[in-house]
Amino acid sequence: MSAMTIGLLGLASLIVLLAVRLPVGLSLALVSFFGVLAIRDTNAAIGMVKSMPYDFVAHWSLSAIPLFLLMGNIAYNTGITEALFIVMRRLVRKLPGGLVIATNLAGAGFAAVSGSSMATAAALGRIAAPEMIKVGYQPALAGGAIAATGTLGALIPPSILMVLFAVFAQVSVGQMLIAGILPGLLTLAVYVGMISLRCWFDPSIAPRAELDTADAEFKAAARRVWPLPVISILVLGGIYGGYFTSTEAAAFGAFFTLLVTMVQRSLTLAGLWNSVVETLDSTAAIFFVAVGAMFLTRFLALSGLPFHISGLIDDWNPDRLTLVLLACLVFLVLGMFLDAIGLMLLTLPIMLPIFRAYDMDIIWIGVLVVKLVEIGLMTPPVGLNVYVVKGVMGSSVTLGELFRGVAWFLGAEIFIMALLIAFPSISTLLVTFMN
Amino acid sequence: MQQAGDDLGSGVIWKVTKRLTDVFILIAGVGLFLMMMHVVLDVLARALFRVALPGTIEVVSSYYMVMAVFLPLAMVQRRHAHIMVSLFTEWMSPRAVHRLDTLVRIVFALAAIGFAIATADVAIEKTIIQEKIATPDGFVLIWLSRWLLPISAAALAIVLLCQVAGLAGPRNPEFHTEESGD
Repeated sequence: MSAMTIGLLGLASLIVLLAVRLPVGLSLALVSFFGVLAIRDTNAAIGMVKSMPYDFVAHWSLSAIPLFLLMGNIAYNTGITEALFIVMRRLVRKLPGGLVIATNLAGAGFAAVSGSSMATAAALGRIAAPEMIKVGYQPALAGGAIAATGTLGALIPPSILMVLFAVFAQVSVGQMLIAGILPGLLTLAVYVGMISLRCWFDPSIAPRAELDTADAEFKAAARRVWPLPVISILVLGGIYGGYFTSTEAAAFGAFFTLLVTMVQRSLTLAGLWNSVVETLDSTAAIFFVAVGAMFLTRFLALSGLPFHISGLIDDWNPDRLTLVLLACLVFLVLGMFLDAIGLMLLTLPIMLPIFRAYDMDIIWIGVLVVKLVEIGLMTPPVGLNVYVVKGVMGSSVTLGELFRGVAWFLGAEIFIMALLIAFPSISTLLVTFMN
Repeated sequence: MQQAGDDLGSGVIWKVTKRLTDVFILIAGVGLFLMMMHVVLDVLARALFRVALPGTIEVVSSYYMVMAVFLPLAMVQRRHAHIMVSLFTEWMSPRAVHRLDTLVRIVFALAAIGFAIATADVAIEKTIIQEKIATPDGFVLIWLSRWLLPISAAALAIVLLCQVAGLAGPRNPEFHTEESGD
């Protein structure tokens, strides 16, 4: 059997293993182990298992991930997210669909301290959904907005997906993080525009309600929220100005969040413990998949499959736009079935060499890839963000209604993707001004 | 973030196993805290006194990171929070899903044991040669951190075997995919 046949067989068995509920990381590891064993020998396979996990994990740039996760978890567990929502609700109360817009803005704000899109969706689901339902918003609109808002978390730095992409693609983590800012703000603006228009044309989905917050409540919330912009300026400004590496920025962000919440007396011992446990849980789960993906990269490289696919594409010789659109299609289809990190790490070993061969800007590609895998979190049947929102909202909304609500945001995403593809400078502009 | 059912299992073995995962999380948590403090102090020391703390990069990468990634693996399994795809099995009866999960856990446990053996081999080898990394001001011993891999994998295997043996109590079968934290 040729190495390439083994590579193809490996990918096929990967799909089977994923389908029978093997954890993604384990599926990747098993397929790669036996694949390498078949192509080379037992020594090569065992050698891979012995050295790669440690070498991959003991990595300075990747240590930004647990620190960014810690920062977001502390912010959530100390009620900063909730206070943010109260402040935003007050600021946009005059707009049609005010609560949905407030949810989006709070989501963007929370994304600025949280690296995770599902954490953003879960946090807002608990805070914003009950209020929207209470004042009579259409459940599909409320839930859809929350699920979609989660995706801002992956673009607005810090972003775990961006850090992982940068490390796998061997580009600067700092640059990759900064590249997400404008696309994140663009997404936010398009979402807000879309919601306002919809609610303006059809007020029944978001009845005008008395949203006035008591002054005292607003002031109390504002007092708790001020650290948020300070933290994000510290983190982003530090990276942008070249004062910090991303790990240093993450450590400072987490430290500052901890300090402020301790001074404000909002951080309890239980809150701190929950933040630490949630951070470690996510860290281990993410790296398990990432290590599996490293194995797969090695296995596929040995099989020669990525090389062969690049060759095929070379022969076909499509222009860049066709290639990017083709990649979009692949991500959208796979994104219907796979989780964001799994999907990204699975496809990069094949896609990156091709993009490199075409001499494309890898930072720009990174933004597109992160955007696409996040869109996958909203598409049925496996839209994880949608499931998270369903889990949080319970019986007040059906899964069907949620996916219908999300469809509007998917429409907006097509528009945003078109802009990002047509104008690469949206993604690269800030990076070119760095240093 | 959702915390999928922390089990109501009983029996001494499961109690000890749970305690073990708690201790591992505690150690990893201390590591996480030290990682944050070490990096912050390093930056401050460089900015204020123009001296870097020796071995920051090496200690952060080889100790704190390895602790934060591997030690919690058993806890993640205890909470059923490993990232997986449950789409294709939604049509199956709960009993069939349960049987499938048991099989998956046996495979997972075997893989974890294999991983523990392979990495223990490395750890022994690195212990004998007293593995260290050279830094500008000396060296950092890192062979100790090699042991975190086999220890964590062994704990993961124990949790899996407890779950297979039904010691971990009934579980909530509906929701496995949260906590991937992307």
